This record gives sequence, structure tokens and C-alpha cells, in this order.
Amino acid sequence: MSNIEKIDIGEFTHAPFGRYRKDGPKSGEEFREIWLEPAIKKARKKGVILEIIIDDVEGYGDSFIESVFGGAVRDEILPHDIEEIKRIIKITYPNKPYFEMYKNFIWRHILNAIKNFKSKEPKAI
Amino acid sequence: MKKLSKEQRVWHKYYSKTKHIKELKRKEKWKSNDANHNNINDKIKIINEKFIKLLLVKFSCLKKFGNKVSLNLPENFDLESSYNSTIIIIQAFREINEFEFKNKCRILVKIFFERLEYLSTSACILLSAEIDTWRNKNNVSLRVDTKQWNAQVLNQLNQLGFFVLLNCPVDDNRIAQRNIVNFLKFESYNAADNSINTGDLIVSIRSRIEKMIGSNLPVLSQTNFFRAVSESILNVQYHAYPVDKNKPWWLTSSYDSTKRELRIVFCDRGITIPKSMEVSEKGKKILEQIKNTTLWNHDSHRIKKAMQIGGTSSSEIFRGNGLHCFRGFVNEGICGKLHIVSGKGYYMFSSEDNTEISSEKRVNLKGTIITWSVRF
Repeated sequence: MSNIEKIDIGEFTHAPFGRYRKDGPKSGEEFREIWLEPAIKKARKKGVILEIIIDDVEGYGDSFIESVFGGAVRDEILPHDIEEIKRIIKITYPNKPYFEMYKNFIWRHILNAIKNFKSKEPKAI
Repeated sequence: MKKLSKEQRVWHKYYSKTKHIKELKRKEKWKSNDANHNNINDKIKIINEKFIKLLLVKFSCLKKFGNKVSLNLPENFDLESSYNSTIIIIQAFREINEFEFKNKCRILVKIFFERLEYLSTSACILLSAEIDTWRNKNNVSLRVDTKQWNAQVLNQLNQLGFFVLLNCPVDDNRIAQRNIVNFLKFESYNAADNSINTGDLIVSIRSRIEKMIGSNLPVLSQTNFFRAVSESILNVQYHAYPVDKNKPWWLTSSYDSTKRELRIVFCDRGITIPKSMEVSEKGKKILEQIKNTTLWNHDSHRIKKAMQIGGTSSSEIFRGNGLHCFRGFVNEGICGKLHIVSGKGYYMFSSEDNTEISSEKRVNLKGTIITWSVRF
């Protein structure tokens, strides 16, 4: 049995655009809710890593990336610990090495979302 | 009492007269007496003439044409080399547009293109945007006589789809000539229209640009083009038109084959980047950081800070990261330059020496125009 689950953003669309569904078709919100969330749940249930292939698309606006990955942290689809997230998802770009920049954006948005989430948590007295 | 400048006095008079016309038209509805009707029409005519006189005083680009006005485009219509004279024309056009819309009348009867010898891509999209808005708002039908026009200007406007926009085909044998600089027919979509697949649209624009150039863009430029344009469009959807989103954006591109220079121009007539910063939490935070500096109220300084920090008008803390994405595309070519004009602010980033230049313009653009220029 494979110890890895795969999800390819290119199968969702080759041209992702927008943050919310109201921005138009193929938005970050749509991908997160319909594709990413079930895939993460399935991978976690099986106890395997989810490989997210990001390079079969034209490119990404920051809004799409933030909505997918920052949104996953806010919606608690992903935990609020970066090391734990690294044990759940793996970002790959086998055919376009220059997509490393998008991988960096993804991790930056995940870190920001964790930071913002923690700053809003009630402080213990 | 605050003393008004001469220009403020003239415009105070102008706008109070506009109000007066509305009042007269309202009365006209209630009184159907013919004599009275004629009387009111005469009054409206007199007031219109007075407005035209005021317009002629304010804008030297306007000339009297019978009892109406004509707009004369200069030899050089370019935001870079002659910003003020170009924006004054756009302003004159907007004042006329507003007046005609409010008073349901026509005062602009002719636009002279005959003197025009150079039309930059950014000025061209701005002019097209104004004429497009004017046509749609006031239901104007136009006729074009291109006999005296400069051949290069004629071809440029034809490639841009200017005559399709005006809905008047042009029969001119000079149109078949191929220019050194080629243009992409401009795209214009409504910011409120979320039925289009914007991602696919950006890919198709990129393909048409590559067809115009005659070769593919480098792979890194392809993805950075997608990133920059998608964030520009999204910024207009979110921020540019906060009250009525039912307004358009425009995009075009040009390629100079001798310089091997590609230009992409994106334009909207929204509230501008510096204004949108006043609305949001993040924008307010940026303004808070610069409030003790002498330049805090300068549009150019605000754009520069928004570029550096990446904040626009979204009130949600995780949003408003669009502006810095604009730089990626110009980083990939030779002599890449990003120009942003928004409100009175001008900002330029050069990838060659990694420098930023910002300056305050005298005249407000009342919108935003973003230009990416790259040599391959």
C-alpha cells in the first residue's frame, strides 16, 4: 500500500483565479472546499502524506494561494503547527523547477495564517 | 470665510449652474404651458453657453465649434513625456462627459486627431477608456473621417480595436500597412462580471501577445505575467469601485520589434490605490506608519509604501497582498520597468538597477494605470 496520497491542482484547472467563489470560476475557495479538504481528511485518516502537485498550471495569483493554504489553516483543515503540517502535506513541482517560488509563497502564507490565528487566540490569565 | 481661488470661483459658479439646470428641468415637467416651456429651453440654452465659455477658459485643448465645443488632441499624446497636457485632455473629456450625462445634452461635437503624431500605449488605452465610457453613458454614436490622420496613429488605433469600439468601420487604404510597433486589441471587462473564467482569459491574452511578438515568452515570464495580471484584475474587483462595481477595466499590449520591447498596460477609472488605503485596516496601518513624515499625504509616497509593504484596501488582515506581485514580471526581462500612475502619484521600479522612483503629479489621473515594459 502506498504511503502517499496525491492531488494535482492542474486537474482542477490550468488557470486558477481569485480568492472566493464570488470572484469567478476556479477560485481558491472552491479548490480548498471541494478538493483539498477531502484529500487532507482522507490522507490523515490513512495516516499518509498528501502530495500536492502545483506545477501543471499557468501560474498563481497570491490571492488564490492565500485562500487555499491560509484558508485551510483558518478553517482548521490544517493544524496550527508548521512541523505538524509538514508531516501532513508535501508540495511538489516535478516538471517546472521555477515553481519553487510558488512553494515558498505557500509556506509563507501558511506561516502568516498560523501567526495571525495565534495572535487572535485568547490569552491565559 | 475661506477665500476661494479664481479657479475655485469659476467652478463653484459652474456647478451651481448645473444644479440650476436640474431645477429648471424639474419645473419643466410640472408646467406644460408652451410659452413657459420655450422660456425654460431658452434659459437652458443660455446656461449651456455659459458653461461652454467656462470650459473654454479652463481647458485650452477645447475650441469653440459653432455653439458647441471640439476637442483637439496634441501632436504628442504620451503620459511619460507630456503627462500634464495628456491628463488635462482626459480631464476635459471627463468634465464634458459628466455634464452631458447630468444635463442630457450634447456639447462635444468633434474630436480632432489630425495633429496627433505620437500616441503612447498607456495614453491610448486611457483615451479609449474615456471614449468607451462616454459612448456607453451618453449613448453617443460617432462618425470617423481619417483622411488627414497620421498613418501610424491610424494603424495603431485600428490594431487596438478603437474603431470597433466606436462602432464605425474605417475605409482607409493606409490601414493595411504593418507598423514597427504592433498593438494587441484591447480587452475590457466589467469588474462585477464574475461569470467569465478570468484565469482562461489571461492565458488567452498571453497567447495573443506571443502571436504578436512572433515567439513564446520565456517560461518564467509566462507565469509571472499570469501572476501580475490576475492580481491586477482582482484588485479592481475588490478595491477600485467600492460603491458601484459595475465598471470596467481595460488591458492592452504593444511590441516594438526594433527595440524588442514588450509593453503591457492595465487601466481602471476607480478610486485609486492611495484612496483605497484610507478604507482598510492594513492601509490605515501603513498610513499610521508614515503619518509623521512630511510626505504622508502624497499619493506617490503612499503607492511606494503599498508596494514595499504590500497593502491595499482590504479590511481583512490576510488580504491586500497584490501590489508586490506586479514586480515579478519586469524582473524577468532586460531593462524591465514597472510604472504605476494612480491619483496624483507616480511610481516607477526598474529591475536593471533595482531602483524605485516616485513623484507627485500636478494633475489627478482619477484612476490607475499600470504599465509593465520589458525587453527580451
